[in-house]
Amino acid sequence: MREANRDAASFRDPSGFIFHRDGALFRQVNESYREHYDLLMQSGLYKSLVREGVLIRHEESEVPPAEQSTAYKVLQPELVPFISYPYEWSFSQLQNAAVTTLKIQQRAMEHGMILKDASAYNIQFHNGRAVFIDTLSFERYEEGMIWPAYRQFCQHFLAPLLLIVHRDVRLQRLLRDFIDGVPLDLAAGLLPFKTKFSFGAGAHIHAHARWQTSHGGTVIDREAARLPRARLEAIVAQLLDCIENLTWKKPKTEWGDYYDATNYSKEDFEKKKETVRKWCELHSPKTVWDFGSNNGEFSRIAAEAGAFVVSIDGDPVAVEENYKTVRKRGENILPLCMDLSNPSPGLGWMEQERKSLSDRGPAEMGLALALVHHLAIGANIPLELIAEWFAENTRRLIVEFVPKSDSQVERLLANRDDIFDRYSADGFVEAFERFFTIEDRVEVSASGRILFLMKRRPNE
Amino acid sequence: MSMRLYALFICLLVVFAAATPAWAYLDPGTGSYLFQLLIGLLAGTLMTVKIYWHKIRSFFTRDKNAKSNDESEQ
Repeated sequence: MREANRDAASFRDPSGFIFHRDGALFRQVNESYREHYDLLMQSGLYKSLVREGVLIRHEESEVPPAEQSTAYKVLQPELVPFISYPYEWSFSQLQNAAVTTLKIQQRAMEHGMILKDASAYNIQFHNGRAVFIDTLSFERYEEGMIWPAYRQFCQHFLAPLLLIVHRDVRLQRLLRDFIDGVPLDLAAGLLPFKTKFSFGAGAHIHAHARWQTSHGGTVIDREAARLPRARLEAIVAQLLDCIENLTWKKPKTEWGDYYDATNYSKEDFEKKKETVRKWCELHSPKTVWDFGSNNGEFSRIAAEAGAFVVSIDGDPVAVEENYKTVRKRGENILPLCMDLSNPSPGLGWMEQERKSLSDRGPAEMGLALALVHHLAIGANIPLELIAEWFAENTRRLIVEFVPKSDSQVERLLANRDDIFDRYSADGFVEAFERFFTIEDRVEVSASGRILFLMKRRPNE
Repeated sequence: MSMRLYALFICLLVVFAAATPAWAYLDPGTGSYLFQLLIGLLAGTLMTVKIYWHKIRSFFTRDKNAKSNDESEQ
């Protein structure tokens, strides 16, 4: 048996941590958490949450702990196929994650426990549903306790959701910079004045931020400063009410009507779909990353062929639509919002707490349909570097070449000098053949769009 | 209506000036702790008002419904 490696993202909570042994993932429960873990299992809370599908299932394992001296138990949690982060979610994903967190807190109270963490990083998505993954976030509730996760909940969920609704969806990216959620004084400064008059933003953000500054140095007599249970429950119920009532008015974006605006004829589009379907079925990959997925039309084809699909697009409106469809149908697709010319980097302590996109791969198969011209011409990335990046992230690739004569590329070049001499079908093949072997190619439109099926060359 | 008035009252009570930046050496947890005691009181009161309001309203609507049912039975 090989040595256990403690997970780089699991070090803040003294109750236990995640470790890897022989390629499998385990969670060590420390002796200091024994009372709370036993209560979670014996009070019926674990059973109830797992039955509802909102808490990750685990088995107690006989595997030796990673740190014998502090260990109480070792758990083997069910695996999540892909770890995603709140700065990659759409509005509704963040909203569903928030609602799930609050409902878990309410359920915990019914069983004499309380949620001590409300980190958005404790939520993952499975078939469009939010699932809480940190088994060690519950502790025994004692009458008079405050909700220890209140501030974290406001920073991780309420502040970014309000900023999206009242300001701009792009402010969600603040979560990428502030690893413990949006600081409340920053959120208060960015939210419009009118939000001071709503209970949700007025109290939980504006007033809350002000109290943080004005009472920062106060020493609290915790025996005297007690919060009756009914009041704690009222705060949580009020937050839930506030979050459930948030609606995001989607802005009109470039890609919202993409499929209506492309120059594919109906027959050509069907041919493209059939080719992708055929190649997906031929290799039946377990994981597919669909880059530039728009509303997920092609992700759906890969999912129907049996794959778990991470469906990535840079347009928050397209990702929102994709997520709503996934949630409604319960599909095995994870929509994520990411600008592919600037993918998620490694973040946090030692740049390892939150993994970069590449560190979460590679995928067995990648789809890059009607994407490369945006990277090559829209973002000035040389074809060779694009090919290299795909080779790093996928073992097999279905990629589409869109020629300069295509109206989509003409649009990109309309008001700028054409400095892209190497952007041609030959230049495309030459660049990609450095990293991939071309297995098949099909011309899919009258305008000269070509689909390629490629396999990554073994590393030299 | 009562809820809106109450919310307005809270807003006037707790904020008008902008929040000043909370620098990192201050522990934001302390302010949050104390704030929870205050907001718990307000949210708790609001909840009680809401429950009573619903009770009163449902008393009258039930009465009305019962009356209309009686009428339809006749």
